[in-house]
Amino acid sequence: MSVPTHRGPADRALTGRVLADRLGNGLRLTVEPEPGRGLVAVALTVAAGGAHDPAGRHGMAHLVEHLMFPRGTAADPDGHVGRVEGAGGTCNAETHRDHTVFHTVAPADALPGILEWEARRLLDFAPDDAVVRTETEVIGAEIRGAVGGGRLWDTAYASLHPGSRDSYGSVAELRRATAAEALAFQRAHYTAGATALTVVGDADPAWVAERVAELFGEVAAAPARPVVRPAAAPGPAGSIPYGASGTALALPLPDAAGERHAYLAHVVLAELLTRARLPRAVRTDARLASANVICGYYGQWLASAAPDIALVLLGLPDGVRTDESVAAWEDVLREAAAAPPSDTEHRRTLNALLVNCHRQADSLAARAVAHGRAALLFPGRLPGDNGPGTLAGQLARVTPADVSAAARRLLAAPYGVTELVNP
Amino acid sequence: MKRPWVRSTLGNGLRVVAVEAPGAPLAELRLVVPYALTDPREASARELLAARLGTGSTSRDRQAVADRTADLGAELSTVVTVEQLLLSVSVLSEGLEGTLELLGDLLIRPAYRDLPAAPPPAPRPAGPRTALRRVVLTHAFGPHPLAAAPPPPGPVTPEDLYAFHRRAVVPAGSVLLVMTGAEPDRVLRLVAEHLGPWTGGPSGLVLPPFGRAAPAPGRPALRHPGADQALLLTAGPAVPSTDPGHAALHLAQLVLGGPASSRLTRRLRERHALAYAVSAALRENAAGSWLEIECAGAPGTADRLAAEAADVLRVLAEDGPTPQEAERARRYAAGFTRFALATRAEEASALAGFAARGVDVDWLAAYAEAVGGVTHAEVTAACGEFLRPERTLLATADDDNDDNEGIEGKEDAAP
Repeated sequence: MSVPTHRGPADRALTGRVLADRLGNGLRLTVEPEPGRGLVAVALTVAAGGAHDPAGRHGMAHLVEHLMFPRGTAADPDGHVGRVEGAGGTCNAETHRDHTVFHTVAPADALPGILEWEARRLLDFAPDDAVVRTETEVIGAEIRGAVGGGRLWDTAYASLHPGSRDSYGSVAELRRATAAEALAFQRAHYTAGATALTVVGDADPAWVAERVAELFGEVAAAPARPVVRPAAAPGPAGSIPYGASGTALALPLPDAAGERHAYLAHVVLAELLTRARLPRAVRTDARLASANVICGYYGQWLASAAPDIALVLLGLPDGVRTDESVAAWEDVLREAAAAPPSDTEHRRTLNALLVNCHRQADSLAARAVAHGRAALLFPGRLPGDNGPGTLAGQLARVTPADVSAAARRLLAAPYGVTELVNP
Repeated sequence: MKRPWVRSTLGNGLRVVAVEAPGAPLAELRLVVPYALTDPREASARELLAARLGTGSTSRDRQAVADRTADLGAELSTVVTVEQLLLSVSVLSEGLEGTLELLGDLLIRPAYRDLPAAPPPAPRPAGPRTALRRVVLTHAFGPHPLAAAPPPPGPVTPEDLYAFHRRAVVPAGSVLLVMTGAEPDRVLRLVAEHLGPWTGGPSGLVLPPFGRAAPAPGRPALRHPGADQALLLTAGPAVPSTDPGHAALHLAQLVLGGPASSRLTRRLRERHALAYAVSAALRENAAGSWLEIECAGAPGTADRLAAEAADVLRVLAEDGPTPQEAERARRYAAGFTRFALATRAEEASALAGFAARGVDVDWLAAYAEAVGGVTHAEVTAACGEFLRPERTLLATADDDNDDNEGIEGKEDAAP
């Protein structure tokens, strides 16, 4: 394996303790030392998700995610998962609309092996048709387990972006997929320019940088494939079985990459509404049985750079129509748009978000994933600008006026409607 | 990671553990209160109290509590398990004393306002998962509060609620764990100042032991028309975590179905694509201990799931794991004892759980050492003792297109 040449000092940055680097082939590397816990978290993030599924192969990105965990064979009995678990670690992966992230947590002394195995599964990807067939059926079982509330997000998303498809896939289409197709997808999308590797924990950044350069230098240097970013264009109201009768509204959020401050203002607004304004409305307004709003995939904001949404869930009292509860929601939003929150209310809202921020930042795995997304999906002016360590400060810069502006923007935005049907 | 900690019991019987954890600007508090349902007549008050605890005091209404927690930068949540009520707080470090003051106010001077005039509607019939769990526990261990369907909800008066608070939410028998960067002795002083006046208990709200220590084997099969998944749930013999043989059993459980490279995953998922996830876990509470396998597959596959799981048990019981599997399980267990405590929130919850069980907060570190000393022969012996299918109850729930009756009364024992 050859050792690639680094592009030069301009591509390596130290922000605080965090090393942000790019290999000669374009692969992004972030290392954040966090000594003392005896653990490392490694995230391999690839800019290939459900939005990259080829026509007629809905779920190909998800299938390739499964296939990136090569099984044991006679020659290599452990397989990838067995090796990680044998080193005392655990690993998993998630396929999102615009990216896939593979995350591993392990004792720190396992890091050399973890890096080597990450490179091996990336470079030696070679599924066979038998594995493709069984993993397709496993995905079918996964989909069966995600009925009802597990499909709420995707259904609501499609109400604002008609034609968008979830990242799980369709078993009927995947049953026609071949190992050759999976290999072609992996080669096209799992390129160095589309990949970020992140290490957080008991690790020496200089050693990691050197080792990653050795191991990942042969990853093909092609850039990430752009994803179609659909504009918000609500279709007719859809419906989904759900545990309680109600309505889900999907509203567009600002681009988290290009308008990060406005995006975070929407996050603050959602927290403010859910903590205080909406509970008050539920107590006083007969058109609402319950109400809350979350930003991002099931409340994980900054989890995707694909057009992101705020999801409003309104519980319907008996005899109240959907349009009436939506009007009640808009009344609450109108109040927030008309005047900025008081400094006290704003401070309380930020406090709540900061507690969550610190709790998230306390998890090595969450930090590794957040670094990977920041490097790949939300690059700032300098490497590391939008890493998890910067988030608390960025939230604190959101002003009451910004929150009010976010409410005005949501009021003017188109929204999708999904009926929640309690069977 | 071993952290400095101190332990004390206040005059009111509250056991307090203060753990020093510098780093994040957060304090984590966990109050563990015994809260098992031992008398079905208390079910409605128990449920309503758990939903309302922490929402008001005689001097603060719901909004004032919400405002105070927000001012402190605190997040307060309540979780009820089959045997405990767990009150959790995450708070910005500088809000620790204010949080203890608020906690004392809510526990000592509770106020339950705006109670519902009528009891909630009767819950729907249990879904297949819940029904299956009740069948497993009843069949395996005999009648027990854990396996009983809850009584229909009844009216709860304010007097009922205050009486149940005085009975259940008491310091004697409860444990408070505080994990923060502050010096532990200072934390103990603050706790004594704000929770010292709390009185009462012990409540005796603990689960009675199962009628049988080891599960009765069998093969109950529930029929559930329209079920969109086939379910498998098992109960096999086990020993509690304080038993000297537990470490070897733990490794046997990991080889069977703990991590993703386990025998069950390889057989049911990788070879036959019968399930997305299949797990084996050791269950333990005051009622007893048991080994549980759980998985879901496509409708119509329940018998296949049970047969494959039974065969995996049989092979392991007869032949034991390979030395490589035992070693992998040992390393996985050693790693797990670290990353199960990877965040302060997880660590605080785990340590509070240890303290509530009466074991040392350093128990996990000692356990990791015990796991490190288990030999391949001991894991093999544990497989032979605990994984025998003839000692295991294997229960399933599945769709049955030929039978339109509901789950109730459709339990039958297949060979």
